[in-house]
Amino acid sequence: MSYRVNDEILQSVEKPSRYTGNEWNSIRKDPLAVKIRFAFCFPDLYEVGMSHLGMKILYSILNERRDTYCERVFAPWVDMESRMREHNIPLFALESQEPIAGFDFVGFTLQYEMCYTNILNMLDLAGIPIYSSDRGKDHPFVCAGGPCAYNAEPLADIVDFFMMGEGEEIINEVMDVYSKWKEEDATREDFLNRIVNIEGVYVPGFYRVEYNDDGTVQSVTPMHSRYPEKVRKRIMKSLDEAYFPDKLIVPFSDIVHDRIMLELFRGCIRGCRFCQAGFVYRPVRERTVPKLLELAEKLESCTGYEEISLTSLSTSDYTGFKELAEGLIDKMEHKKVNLSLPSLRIDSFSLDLMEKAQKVRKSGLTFAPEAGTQRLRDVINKGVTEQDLINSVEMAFNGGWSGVKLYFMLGLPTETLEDVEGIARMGGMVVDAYMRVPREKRAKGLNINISTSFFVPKPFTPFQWEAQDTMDVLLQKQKFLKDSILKDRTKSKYIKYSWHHSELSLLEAVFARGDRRVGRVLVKAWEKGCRFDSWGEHFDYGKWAQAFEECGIDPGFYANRKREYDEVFPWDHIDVGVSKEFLKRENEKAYKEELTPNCRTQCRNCGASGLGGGDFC
Amino acid sequence: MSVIRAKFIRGEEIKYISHLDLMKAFERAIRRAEIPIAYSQGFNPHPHMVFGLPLSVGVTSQAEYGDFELSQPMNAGEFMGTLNKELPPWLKIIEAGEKRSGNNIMASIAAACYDILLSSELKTSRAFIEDKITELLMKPEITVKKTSKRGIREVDIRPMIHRVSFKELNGDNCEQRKDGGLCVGGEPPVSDSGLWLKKYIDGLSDPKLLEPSWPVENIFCLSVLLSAGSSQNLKPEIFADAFLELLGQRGGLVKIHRTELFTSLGGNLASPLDNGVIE
Repeated sequence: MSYRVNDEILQSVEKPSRYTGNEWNSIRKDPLAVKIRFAFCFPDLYEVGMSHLGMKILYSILNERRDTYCERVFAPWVDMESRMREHNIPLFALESQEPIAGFDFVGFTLQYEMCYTNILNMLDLAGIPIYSSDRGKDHPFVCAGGPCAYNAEPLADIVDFFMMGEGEEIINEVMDVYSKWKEEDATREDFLNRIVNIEGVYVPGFYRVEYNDDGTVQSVTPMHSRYPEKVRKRIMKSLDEAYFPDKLIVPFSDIVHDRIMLELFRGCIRGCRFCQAGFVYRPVRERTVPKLLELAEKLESCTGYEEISLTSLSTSDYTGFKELAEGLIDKMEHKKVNLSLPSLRIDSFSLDLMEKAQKVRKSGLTFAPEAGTQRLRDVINKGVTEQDLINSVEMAFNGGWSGVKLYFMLGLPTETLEDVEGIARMGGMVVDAYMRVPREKRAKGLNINISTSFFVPKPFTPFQWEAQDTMDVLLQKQKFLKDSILKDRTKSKYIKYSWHHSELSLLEAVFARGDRRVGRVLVKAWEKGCRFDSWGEHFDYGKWAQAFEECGIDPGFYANRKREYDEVFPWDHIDVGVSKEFLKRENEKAYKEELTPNCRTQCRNCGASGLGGGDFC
Repeated sequence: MSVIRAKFIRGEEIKYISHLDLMKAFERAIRRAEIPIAYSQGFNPHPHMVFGLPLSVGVTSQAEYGDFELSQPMNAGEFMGTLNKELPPWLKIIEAGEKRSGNNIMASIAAACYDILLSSELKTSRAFIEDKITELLMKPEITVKKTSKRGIREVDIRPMIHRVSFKELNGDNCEQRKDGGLCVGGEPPVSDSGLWLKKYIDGLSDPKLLEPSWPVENIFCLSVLLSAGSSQNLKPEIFADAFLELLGQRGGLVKIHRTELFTSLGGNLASPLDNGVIE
């Protein structure tokens, strides 16, 4: 017998409202009046999951169906988990508070690799077998989607099927098939057979993987001629026509992104060679300005949020950016709604816009030069110069800003210590730029935040063949950068340097390009107690290292090995639109330090145009 | 300048949100409802709203108060009607009027009434509980340990306890909430705290719910009037602990429900809405 959580338990945990739901615009249905129950799971805390726009869209789409009740599930925090395990309370959905083991679908969105142990933990807490092969007729189907699904192989033994690409349409198609299947007395396999030919559906159990003696993948073969050799991702060809919910849930408690997220476009014209999002979301499809203004107003009136943020990969690349920003400021200012502008590229930053956004409220400035020298920025195709940065920050300092965040990566292909030192030098140049502004014009309290992450080679990028630096090398570079910054005391006092865990980046590299065999490590690490790996206080690399050893798997094989161009990748049977041939060309150009123009300037035939809908293809 | 004072409920469904979250929920509802609320000046304007006495996380209430300063005059009835459309049924305004007294609601709260559900290890009779209440009230002083920033100190809470009585929980079987289609849940019974608590206790026996660590059949209810507000404040949790200790047997605090707040008017307690002197 298992139970539902009661007040005594809720009173004893941190932030009980994570588990109680009832937010504005959340949807309640009669569970007995629907045919399909869908548990939409975000394998992280409520505060993180509720900040994710995709989940809110799919939640609405599924609930628009009269036959379906979609509810939300988040990973319970460790305090709640221990109470649940102690009292035999299975994982439950927020809306109905009912156990999800009895649902028809348990769907996970995969936003980052380091949430995988949470998936296992959530399945286990729900009382659902973690291995696909152990699930029977009474268990829900476990499905997944999201950016990490493009290399789904580490989860191949766990997830029954994946949905590749944008979920707006495919999820309805799958539900339609399920609705018919449920009426018949058919097997689980039969259902998977019925959906395997829906474009974008990937059933890993229907594919056989063979390996070479050196450990690399030899082939991934469909087990039946009926199964697609390549699974192509789905996209919405027109975003103006794509479904967008009338109502978005407004949480009570503070979440990470507690504001309206206005998605201007999908895809990115830039093609920075390290960036997976820049390739897997292609082609670029923009919403029109009138549509966005309409959406913004609608969202504002249904949520009452005090802030709108423009969320896209490189927001200022939006064609109608100026018109949109002005329109939004116009509409929202008198309502005291703040417009926040994240991820502005420094080459298209304009003082004009900054002043306008500032009229409502000032927020921090963030720039991402990514690399410290022009040479390395050319390697990664980040078409930004030092002068761009300096011009931008000078304008900003003149406009009364005094805080700047600078993001860089360490360990990029071809990186030398000179490139690393370049990061410190750029920090110093920003200090100089501030000092050039007359004292009476600039705001007090200059603070520059330099933050580095470690380069993680990702599938479907021109750097998918590259090796990640070993941990030793990465730590040396980090120390070298720290010392370089500290060398000039007059400047370093304005600079704060923060960095990421190197071990976490190593694991990310393993799972980003992992094959089915690393799934065993995942299970082992979870059995040892790993979960919430992206939360510093819970990340325990010691356990992971043991798990690798016990499984006889060398993380270096996945993370630190440079691949040959002809190597078969575990994700080669997935088609994201961009061709391997194009990625190879881009890789070669990286070594020649050659830039590739952005999509709007010139089409370089990446292959994504074949998906249709691209605005600049 | 027009200021509306509103009385609202906080139901079971949102009892776990913090005071700050509650204020944010109001702010957003006000924006959705397009109520002409007055904003502070500056880069980060915030609406002029003041709330009575913050509730602890987990506590429900049928008598919360807020003052809302408007930039244009608005009829209190219209304010209530418009705003309620944008509030969930478990956070609902039940009365509103022009604010009359000078002080804002937060500064004028003097006392609060609570219904407190306790459970004892052994079954108790009404007479037994009433004897214990008399015993408690006869005490010249009741010291409890209070943890504050400056460490643990002893406080006499007796002067802050004004009234304690046993409360019979009646109420017919409440209607179960019916959910259907694309709609939100039902409404809490706001008029009668007895009904509210009865419904809550009935819910505890749901066989699907994890059984509480104290016996449901031994639950009894105390109604208390305690000092509250900025000058003297006795948290109902502290009172509950003191009473459980006096009971001399193991027991548990089941639930706290606030039933009224009072302002002080010339040494008397008054209703925050109309300043009518209560006692």
